Formats: sequence, C-alpha cells, structure tokens
Amino acid sequence: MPQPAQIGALTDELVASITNFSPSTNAQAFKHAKDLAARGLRGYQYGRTNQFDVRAKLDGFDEKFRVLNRDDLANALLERLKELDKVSTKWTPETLSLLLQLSDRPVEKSNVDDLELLKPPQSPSPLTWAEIIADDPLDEEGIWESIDYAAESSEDEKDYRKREKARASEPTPSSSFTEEDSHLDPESYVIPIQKDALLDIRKEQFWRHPAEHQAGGALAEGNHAAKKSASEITELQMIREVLFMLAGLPTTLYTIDTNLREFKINTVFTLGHVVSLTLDDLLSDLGGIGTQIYRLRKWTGNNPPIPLFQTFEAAVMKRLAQFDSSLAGLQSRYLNPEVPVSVSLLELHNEVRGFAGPILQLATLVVAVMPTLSENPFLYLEALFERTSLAQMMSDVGLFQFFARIFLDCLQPYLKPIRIWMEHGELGPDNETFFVFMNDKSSEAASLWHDRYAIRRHLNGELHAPNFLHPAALRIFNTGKSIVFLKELANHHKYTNIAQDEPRLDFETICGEAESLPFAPFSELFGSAFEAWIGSKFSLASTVLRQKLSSECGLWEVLDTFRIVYLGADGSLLQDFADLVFERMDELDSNWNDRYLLTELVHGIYGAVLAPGQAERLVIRRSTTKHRGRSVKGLSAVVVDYNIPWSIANIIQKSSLQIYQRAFGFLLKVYRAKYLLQKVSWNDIQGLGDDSLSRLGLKMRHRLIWSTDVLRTYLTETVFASSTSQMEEALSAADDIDAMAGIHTSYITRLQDLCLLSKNFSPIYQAIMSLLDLVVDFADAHSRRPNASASLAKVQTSQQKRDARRRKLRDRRRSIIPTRQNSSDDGSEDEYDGDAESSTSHDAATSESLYKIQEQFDRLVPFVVAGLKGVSRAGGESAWEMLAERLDWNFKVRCS
Amino acid sequence: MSNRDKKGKAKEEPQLEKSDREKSRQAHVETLEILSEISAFLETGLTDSQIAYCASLIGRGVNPEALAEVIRTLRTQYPERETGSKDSN
Repeated sequence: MPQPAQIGALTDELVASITNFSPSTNAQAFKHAKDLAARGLRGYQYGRTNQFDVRAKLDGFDEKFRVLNRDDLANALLERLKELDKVSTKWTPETLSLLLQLSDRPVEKSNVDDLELLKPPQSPSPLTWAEIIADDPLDEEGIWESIDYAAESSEDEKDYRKREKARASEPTPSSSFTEEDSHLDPESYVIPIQKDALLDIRKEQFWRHPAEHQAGGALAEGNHAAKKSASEITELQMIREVLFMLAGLPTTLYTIDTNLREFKINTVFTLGHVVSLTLDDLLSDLGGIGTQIYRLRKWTGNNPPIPLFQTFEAAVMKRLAQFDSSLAGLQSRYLNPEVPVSVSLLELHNEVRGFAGPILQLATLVVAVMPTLSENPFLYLEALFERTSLAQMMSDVGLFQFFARIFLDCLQPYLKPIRIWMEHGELGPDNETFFVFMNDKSSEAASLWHDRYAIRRHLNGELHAPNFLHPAALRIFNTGKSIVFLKELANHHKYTNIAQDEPRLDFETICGEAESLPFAPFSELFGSAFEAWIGSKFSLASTVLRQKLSSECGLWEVLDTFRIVYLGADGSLLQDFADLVFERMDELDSNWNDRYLLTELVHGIYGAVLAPGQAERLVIRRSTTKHRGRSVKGLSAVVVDYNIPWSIANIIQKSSLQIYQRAFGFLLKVYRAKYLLQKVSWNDIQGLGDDSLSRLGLKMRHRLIWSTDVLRTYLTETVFASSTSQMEEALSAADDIDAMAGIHTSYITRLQDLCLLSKNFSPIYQAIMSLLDLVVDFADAHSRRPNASASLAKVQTSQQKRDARRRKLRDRRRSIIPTRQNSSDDGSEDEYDGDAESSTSHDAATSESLYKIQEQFDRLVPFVVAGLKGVSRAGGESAWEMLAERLDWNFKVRCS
Repeated sequence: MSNRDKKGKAKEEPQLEKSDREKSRQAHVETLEILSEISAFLETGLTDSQIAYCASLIGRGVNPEALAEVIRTLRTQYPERETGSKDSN
C-alpha cells in the first residue's frame, strides 16, 4: 500500500477511534471528520520537531513535579523515559512531542496508581515439557507407534492450513464465533474400517458357511439348509443353542416345524469329541423337552374369554416364567462363572430334566385337557386335583407342591361365584360355570325354596361342577337359598352372610407349612378344609333361618294346627265339630255343607285352642262328590282348607295338604259311623220282635262298634300320634329347609300309606269305606222301624242329650250360629211317626237288612284283614299287621 | 496494528523459533506500552489504540504538531462522541 493510502487508512482509524463514528452507520459525519483530519494533517506550516526541545520540556516536567512535591510522578516519568531510551526509534521524539502537546495539567490529574491499571494482565507462563509430562506421562501403550495416515485425504491438510491462516489473521478476538468451529469436517469423524475385526466376527458366525445359502437370520422355518458338509462347533456353543431353544427362541441348531410345532435337530452341527449318534440322541431328548414347552408357550396367549381359563393360563404362564428364570440361571453360570464350571452338555441335560419335570407334566396335562374343555370346563381342575393326589402318592414333594399350588390358584376364581352365592344369595350374570342357576324367576314365594333356583346338571344327570365339589354342592346350594329366603322374609332388606373369619383356602392352610409331604391324602385335606370354608357360611345362615322359621313364621303353630284340626289330636274338639256337621247332614237335605256356616263353626270350635291367628286361616270348602245319600263317602263334600303362609309352604308343601284333608276325611267318616251307631240304642234292637233278630242286631252292633273303635284307635293313636311326634322331633333337628321339607314329605307319604289312602291300598280302603257304609245301613235299618213309644222315648232322650250338648257347645262357641229350631227335631220324629207301615213288615225288612249286613261284614272284614296282612308281609308297616290282628279278633270271636 | 504487521503475521511460518521480525514487533509493543504510560502521566487522554495510530502516522512522516492540532480540533468539534477521553483544552 503506498504511503498516502496507509496514512489515509490510519487516519480513518484514528478519526473513528476519537469520534466513535462508524463509516457504515454515520457515514456523513465520519466523512466530515475524516476530511477535517486529512486537511489538518496536510498542514506543512509546522516545522520539524526539535528533539532537544522535547527533551527540555520533559526535563521541565520533571522539575515541575519535584518542585510541586510530586516526586513519585517525577520518578515514574523518569523511569519510563529511561526504558523508552532503550527501545527508542527515530520517531520517538516526534511521538513524545505529540504527547507533550496533548498533555493537560498532568501535575493536578496524574496519579501513579493509575499506571497499575494500564498494565496488561500477566500472561501465563509458557507451558514447559516438564509440566506436560508431569501431568500426563506419555507411557500409554502404543503411543509411540506410528500412526497410519494412509486413509487421510489431502483435503484435510488444506483445511488445516486454512484454519491456521484464519487464526493468524485475527489480531484481536472478533465478535463472531471462531472460524475454526464453523469448519466442521465430517470426514475427520470417520473411523477407518478395521478389516481384521470383521474377519474375526465372520469366523465366529460359523453358521454362515456357506453364507450365500442363508437368507439372513438364523431361523429357517421348515427349510432344511443345503449344507453339504458337517460344521464342527464347540460344546459351549451347542449349550447356548440348546438353552435358547428351551427358552423358545429361534436357533440354528434346532429348526421349528410350525405345522407340527416341534423342534428338529439340524444334523449338520457336530461336536468334535462326541459320536454323532450319542449326540443326536441327547439333542433329540432335549429337543423333545423343548417341543413340549414350546407347545405350552404357544398355547398361552390365546386370550380365553372365561375367567376360569384365564386364571389357568396365567398360572401356566407364571410357571413358564419360573422355568425361564431357571434357564437364565443356567445361562448366567456359563456367562459369568463365579467358580470354574465344566462345560458339559450331559450335565445340562440332567439339570434341565430335573427342573423341567413338573412343567413337562403340566404340558401333557394341558394337551390332554384342552380338546374337551368346551364340554366340561372343569376338566382341568379335576386333572390338576388328580395329579396332585398322584404326586403325593408317588412321594414327589416338588411335583406335589407344584401341582397343589397351581390347583389352588386356579380354584380361586371358581370360588368367587360360590362365595357371592353363599354370602349374598346372588348369581352373577350369565355365569355358565356355576352349578346354580335361576330356574323360575317369577316363581311365587311359596315355592321359592324348591322352584326358583335349581342345580345345573349335564344330560347324564351329573352335576355341572368339579367332581371334588360334588359332596358339598348341596350345602352350597342350600346356603344360598337360605340367604334368598331370609331376604324374602325381611322384605328384601339387606341381608348378608359374611362370615367374620372365613378360613383361607391356600396351600399353607391345607397342607401346612412343612416342606415334607402331608401324611393325610390331599383329597381328605382339601375336603376338610373346604368343608370348614363352607361351614363358616352355611351354619350361620341355617341357624338364623331356623330361628326365623320357628319364631317369626310360626312353623310349630302351623304344625300344631294341623295336628289338632286334621289329625284330631284333641278328640273332644273333633267330636263337637263332627256332631254338628252330622246333625246338619241328617236334618238338612241340601245345603248342609254351607261353607260359610261351617267355617264359622270351625273358627268357633278351634279358635279357643289354637294359637292366635291360626283358626282364621281355616276355611271350609265345598267339594263336589258323586256320592249322594247317606253314605259316609258323602262327607268328602266337606274339605277343610288351611291358608299356609308362603314361608311355611316351602316346608309343608301345598300338595301335602291334600293328604291331611283325606286323613281328616277318613277320621270323620269313622266318627260318622260311630255317631250313627250311637244313635241306634239298645232298646231299638231289643224292640225287634224276633229274639234271633235281636241277637243278630246286637251282635252286629257290637261288631260294628268294635270295628269302628279299632279303626279310630288305629288312626288317632297308631298312625297320627306316633308319626307326628316322630316327624316333629326330626324337624326340630333338621339343618335346613331342604331337610325339613324332606322330613315332612316322608312323613306325609308314610301317613298316606298308613291311612291306606295311596292308590296301592285303594281296594282295602274301599273295603273299609264299605264297612263303614254298613254302619249307615245298620243305623238306617233300625231308624225305619215304627216303634213309637220306644222311639219317642228314644227321641226324647236323644233330644235331651242334644240339648245338653248344645248347651255345652254354646259355652265354647264364639260365633253366633243360629241354633236350629226344635221343629227340625220334630222332623226326625215325623220320620218315625209319619211311617204307615206295620211293624211286621219293618221287622222283615230289618231282618233282611241285618242278614245282608252280616253277610257283607263277613265278607269285608276278612278281605281287609287279608289285604292288610299281605301288604304288611310285603315289607310294609307293622301297624297294618296290628290293625289286621285287631280286626281279626272281632271276626274270630264270632266264629268261636 | 498496521496492515504491514498483519501481513507480516500472516506470512509468518507456524514455527516456534523467534525471528527478527518477532523481535522488532516485540520491541514495538514495548515502546507502545511505555508511550501509553507516559501518555497517562501527561494526561493526554489518548487510548492505546489512538497512541498506536498516532505513532504509525508519525512513523509515516506526519507532523506531530499537525496531528496534535487535528486531535484537538476533532475533540472540540465532536466532544460528545468521545468516550473516556478528556477535553484537551
């Protein structure tokens, strides 16, 4: 650059420094200042600088400083001047002259301390090799080896030089980032390929021989690679492959046949020190284990819809995870051996067989159970139960614990619906796996116990539940029904049967904490534990229900009512009722069985004796009967109904009421016969002209009375009393409503048989009815005779008796029944008096009747006796034998 | 720093040995330091860079009195633009 240009540039810099104008921002002002400076600098009116003058001025300053007692300044100035002399150039005086001309009262303003601020910061001492070596001794391996820069390109050198240039051209730090940072050279980050390492890796991957046959990846599914030559591998590599195969991972040593889901050995790989046959055998055994476990793994993950199966699958997956962790332990032993281990495939085989035993058995169980699960969803539970018992019998502790734990884990979801049913009496929605289901949702309360819920059974009648639960199924069923019953009693109030201390059903509770096998069979242990579990819920529900049935529902009051009303436990009450009914029968042709009047009669007679509210439940119903006339069978038109409460109706079912009514009817008929016989007095018979006829009449009367009494005694004492007391005793000891209903049903059945009301005993029963009808005939025969005085006296006597009876009844009766007028009694007298036949003809008729009656009696009684003895001998009740004997006495007395 | 100095520096080989140029540059720097201290004594109000510019100008034959006059004129005419410098008069 020529001199003026340099001066111009320097002038620009000076102007910019002094004025702080920038040519870019304040161009005009800068130009003006620059012109001013340039004009000023061109001034040649100034002469050359006299260096002696400069020196004199400086001396003058020195003197001035000393005069004004500023020796520090003077000394400092002198010192600087001396230093300057050492490095002075030919322009130093001019520069000093400039400074002298621009000085401004240095004496007043200067301060020596300010010089300290002028000093630049001390630059750090240059780094020496000694310091570098002390900090980082150069003793790294290979540090002195020559580096191969063969891969370096020449471009790197250029960039390096560029960087150096850029650094050199910067005198002061610039405001922007350094150029070297922006010169990022990606190629300098490239690590050169080390070909030796690549060769080593290829050598390790032995399965890539020949590499072009493999399509990448070691897994060849069903594709037998065309390896022409056997490839020898180490035992450790083989162990690794085996462990991977057992873990279900793809390997090259084993190929997976996805259709058959089995592992096949790739026979190309051999061990150098083992005969191939032995090796194949070992590997195939391991492959077999792997195949079974692989199939088990594939089975899991099917996402079954039912929670039971989900739990089973989860339990299997948990055991597979445990197996995998055992495999991982084996792998870690070979990977990070803490102690020296021998690499042995045989040892691995033994170990794998050891801890894979349980899981292999589980795999076979799954294979066996899976196809039939849709038919029997509990098959796997039963199979697990069996395997547990089998393992215990084989004294295999590990296997026993393995299967017992799986079994109990899988049982838990099955217990949930059971628990809900037994605690709340509720069924889960669409729960097909539970054996209780709602049979009839709209069933009435009276059949709640028997009809609303039912037990689910298969077509062959087998219970839809695991076989180990069959013994307890009924109790479970009844417990839930008890809860439902209690809820119904409490008018749907909240009732729950949550036992405070429900025993746990887990392995420790059932089999104990000991590591050894329990002595008792697992089935027994489980059965007792399960019974305890059920009992904790069952006993509470059944106890409460029994109490409620007894106290709130009045079970015993109802039974008392039945006993008194239907079974004539209180004979006097029945006699009163019967007498009134018989009177109406005799004196009214029709409408004698008016239900309203008879109902009032019943309420009046029994109301004082029965428990409060019981008599009001009795209702007389008129029943149509084909029997007309005075036959005892006509009494079937009167039926005593009882309105059983719905809660009691679950025990004493409505169907049993019919038996009670028929038994009552039978008893009433016997009472009728006795009533009619009592109406035929001794005098009536004596009044017969013929002695033989009288004797016959008396004899027949006696026999008929005897037979009637025997029948009545048989019914009331032998049948009703004993059976009912037995039934009540059994009922009080019953566990639940099922037991109670069963007891009552069997009682009713027995009652029916003993009363000869069953179809089987129909001939005998009809014969007895015919026998009772003989009494009617006998009474009729004697009532037609026109024995005015005797009959009148008899009638009067009868009338007196009736009046006395009525008076007695009036004391008992609560209701108001219009007493029949004496005019009706006169009707009976009219019957006697209105008869215009002569006594002779009546005697003849009576004689004929009597002989007929005798004949029929002699026919019927043996028939009944024979029939009763026959059924008694055929394995029936001994009571029949007793009845037959007693009837036979009467008959044999005649013969003798 | 003068362009020559810059060029000189750019032309320098990246070597650890000191050259004559390096020595003269060092001397030049020392001179400037001393002058800067003297300037501080004399309360001229010149910064280090201004002293360097002035020394360079004087080294190129500029009259020091003319230069002083120019500096005084610039300071008078543009007093508010000056930063850290004192009034010369």
